[in-house]
Amino acid sequence: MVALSETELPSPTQDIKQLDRRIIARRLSVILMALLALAVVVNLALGASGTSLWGALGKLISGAELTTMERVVLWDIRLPRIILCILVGAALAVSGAVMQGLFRNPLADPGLVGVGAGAGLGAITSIVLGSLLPVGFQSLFGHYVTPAAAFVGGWGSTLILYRISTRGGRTSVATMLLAGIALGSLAGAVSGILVYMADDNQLRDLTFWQMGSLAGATWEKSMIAGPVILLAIAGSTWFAHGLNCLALGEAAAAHMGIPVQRMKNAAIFSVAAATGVAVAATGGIGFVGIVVPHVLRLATGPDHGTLLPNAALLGATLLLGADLISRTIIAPAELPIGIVTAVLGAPVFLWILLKRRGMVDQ
Amino acid sequence: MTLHADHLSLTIGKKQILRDVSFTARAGEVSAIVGPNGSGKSTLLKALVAELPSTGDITLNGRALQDYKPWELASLRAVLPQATVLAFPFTVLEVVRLGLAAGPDASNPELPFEMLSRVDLDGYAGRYYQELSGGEQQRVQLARVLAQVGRPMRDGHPCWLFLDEPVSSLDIAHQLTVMEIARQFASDGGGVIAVMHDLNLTAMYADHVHVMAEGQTAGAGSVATVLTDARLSQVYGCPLRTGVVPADVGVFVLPQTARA
Repeated sequence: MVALSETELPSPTQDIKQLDRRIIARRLSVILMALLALAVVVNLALGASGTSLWGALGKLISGAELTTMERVVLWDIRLPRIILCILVGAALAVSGAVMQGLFRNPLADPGLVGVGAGAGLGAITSIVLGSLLPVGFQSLFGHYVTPAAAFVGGWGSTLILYRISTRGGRTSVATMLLAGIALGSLAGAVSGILVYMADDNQLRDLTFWQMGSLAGATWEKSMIAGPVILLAIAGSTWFAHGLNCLALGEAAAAHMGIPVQRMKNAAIFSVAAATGVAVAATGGIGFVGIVVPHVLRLATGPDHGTLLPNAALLGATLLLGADLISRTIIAPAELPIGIVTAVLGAPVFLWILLKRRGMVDQ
Repeated sequence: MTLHADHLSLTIGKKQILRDVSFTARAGEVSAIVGPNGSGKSTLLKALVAELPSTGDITLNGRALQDYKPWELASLRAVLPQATVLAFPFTVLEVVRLGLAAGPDASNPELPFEMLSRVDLDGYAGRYYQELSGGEQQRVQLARVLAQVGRPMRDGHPCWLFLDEPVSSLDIAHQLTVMEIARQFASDGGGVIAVMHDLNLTAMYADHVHVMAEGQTAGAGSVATVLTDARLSQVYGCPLRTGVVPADVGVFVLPQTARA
């Protein structure tokens, strides 16, 4: 009798396992890590020059010398590009997820609501007006000026956006999107004026930067963007629980012990920092921040504790895939990666809108 | 041990919502705040939990409210709002777990299931919150609040539940379920402060009643001393009588009959 009733009654722990999307999310993390590793190998192996990764690996194992060509292509061109791709993809996806949690809306995305444009304005300002800085300062901090300016631009526009669209803890989606359009246009207009003022050298820098390409990836860029992005992602795990509570409203989050104002400031700061250095490194790359979190929420739910790390992994993998397409589809020429992510991401975004119109009509 | 508020005043825009309201609730009791629409009941509750800034002093368990850290308060008291719009598609279990993580029992994975069972939502754990009816959502929120501060006493100190119209969208059976939970919490030593519309349920379950009218206190004390014909008629603006069975009114149903 006892044995029978034990088999009939499902134990609560068994219940928890069946219902727990956190377990699925952890399994997904493992899969995403494997995919990311695969993407790294493929991106390292494929390219316009036809240099063989396997040949080079064979030489390394047998202790033979690499040719200069192999060393330059693999170590100086492909690898830094892969690193930057991973950093920027993770930064964009995590920033999108954090911003959506902060605005309590799955449509908020740094690229869509003018934060990217603000960061862009900062970057352009630094390129055009950077020559006004003292020469000594330029030679010491020259590489940090553009990322820092992009961060300030992104931060400023996020603060303005939040102030305008959030009243009493509720974000109006319509106001947020309209304010984003206005901010984006304003930043675009000022950027236009600066481009008009730019001399030939600066114009060349600007054009390369605006193409939104990873072609200019260097170890140096990764070294500047890396610590900022990794810190922003690591920091976001600190407010993952807070973002979950915020989904119940600001008052409820406060009653659950969340220091709401401090958490919001930290979230805005980390979004601006990650978006800023990403934009400074590669120009505007759209839709990663909106598509990646959305797909993950469909798969494993909105818990930011698992959403944020998985978004970093999927964002990095996705951008590696997009970069592979951009490098190979019209090789030896290159398609700007912003075009690839737009072609892939915009239809998904429209599909989200079609499926869930209710999100906008709040 | 008490919650005590002295001379609270609160102005939103140019309108004064609370005018010199003093309020006391004791641990071990259910304290009800009643009054007509717009009398400031919910605002008083929000002022008591410092959700809205008010002038005046509030102490909880003998310590000024502003001296608590956010996490200390979260393990000492929980607040049930009138209605909660959820921004993302969380499941019922995930919502209750948010409360669990905020409270002192965070390491007990069985607790959300126990609390869902207490609010009569067995088997709802895997459902999406947004797909539930208003009354079911309200009970999920109560389960979340109970998962946060489920034990009436902790380390010899009473814990507190603040409930803003906890039964407003519930059927009569679940109204009784929820009020029994509040009653039990108080009987076990905790403090309950609830904004109530239903005067019958108030009479059944409250130890202490605080009547609000036009932002001011219109009476406070035990049910018998406060819910009088004269006061109710004046506050609600219609002739009301307590404890009287009207002649020839046809069918009426009192929640009291369920407990008799």
